[in-house]
Amino acid sequence: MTKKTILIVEDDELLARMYELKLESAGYKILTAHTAAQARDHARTQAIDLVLLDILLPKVNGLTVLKELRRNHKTMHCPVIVLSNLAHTEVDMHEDVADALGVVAYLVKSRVTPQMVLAAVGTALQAHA
Amino acid sequence: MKTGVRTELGTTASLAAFLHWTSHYAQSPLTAVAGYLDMLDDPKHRAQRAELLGQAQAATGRVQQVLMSITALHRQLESSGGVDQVEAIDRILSQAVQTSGLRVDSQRQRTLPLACIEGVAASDGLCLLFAALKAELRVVRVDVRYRQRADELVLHLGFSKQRRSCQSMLAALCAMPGDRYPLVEGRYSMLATAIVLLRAAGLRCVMRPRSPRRTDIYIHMRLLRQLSLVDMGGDLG
Repeated sequence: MTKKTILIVEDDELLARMYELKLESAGYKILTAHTAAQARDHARTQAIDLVLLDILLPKVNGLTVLKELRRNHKTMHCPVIVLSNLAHTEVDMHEDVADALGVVAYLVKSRVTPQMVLAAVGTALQAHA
Repeated sequence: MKTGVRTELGTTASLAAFLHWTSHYAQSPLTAVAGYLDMLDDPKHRAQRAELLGQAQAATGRVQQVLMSITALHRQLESSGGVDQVEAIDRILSQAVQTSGLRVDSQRQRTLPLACIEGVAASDGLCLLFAALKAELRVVRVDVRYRQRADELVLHLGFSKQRRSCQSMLAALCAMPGDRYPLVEGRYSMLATAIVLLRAAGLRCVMRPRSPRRTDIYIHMRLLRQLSLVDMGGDLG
């Protein structure tokens, strides 16, 4: 069976590496982007099954990245899990907006362990299969 | 007039923004510490123990740096208005280098041990500056020289790859007004905090890009004391 590919968009290298190690150990193929531009490049050139997206990125924020993913025919229907230190109310990510943008889960980083992120990824991929 | 971080010029809103972003900046490495420790406990990650431990330690270091900058700013606010302590450059510099863990070319390090500057803010500022060069700008190598004639400390920074954005960020910081809480583009920046503190200590920073991979920071000092060595050998004999 082919490995599912997860794109991690996270500017903090310590956190990006942590999610990378956790998801790799579960058999996923990982692509990492520390900036919006890198995320854009991956989305253009790779087949992605799910995106883990941070909101606070340098220069271009995660919501803009999300909108761009939705405009790209390759990632238009790709499930996205938002991972942020900000509560969803702080980033105007109300439920209707999240639904409209195809956000399947909104996780506050400080409240979830890597294991919980892994579980959320598994659930999202199953629901999307 | 002594320049520095002054509460009366910073509005409550800017203080609130500063606190919001510093707490956010500290939260990420704390999340990383908790996450890596959680993974260390998991037998599936046994083979990665060394890396997990190293990452957790790096994250702890980042939390310490945030706390260090808050403490340093607080100290500065408390003591603004007068010179609190005088210290030799050499000692301050060694401490800053040691704290940051940056690779400093010691062969080229030429400082004057007896040149004295305002101590606490300079010490805090240099410690944060070195830590920020490593953590925020990913500087890989620093050569430090002290030029006695101009009373300036010159830091030659080497980047691993072209980082034009770093150079423009440094230039903007060096030109930043001294009466603001140190946020860059609305976010907490350790580097900005360092430059605010250095200014408070009477050290003026000027940035000069040399090439895409090289930038120099000139830190001009206002020496408080310049002691000279006297050879007493003849008299004592």
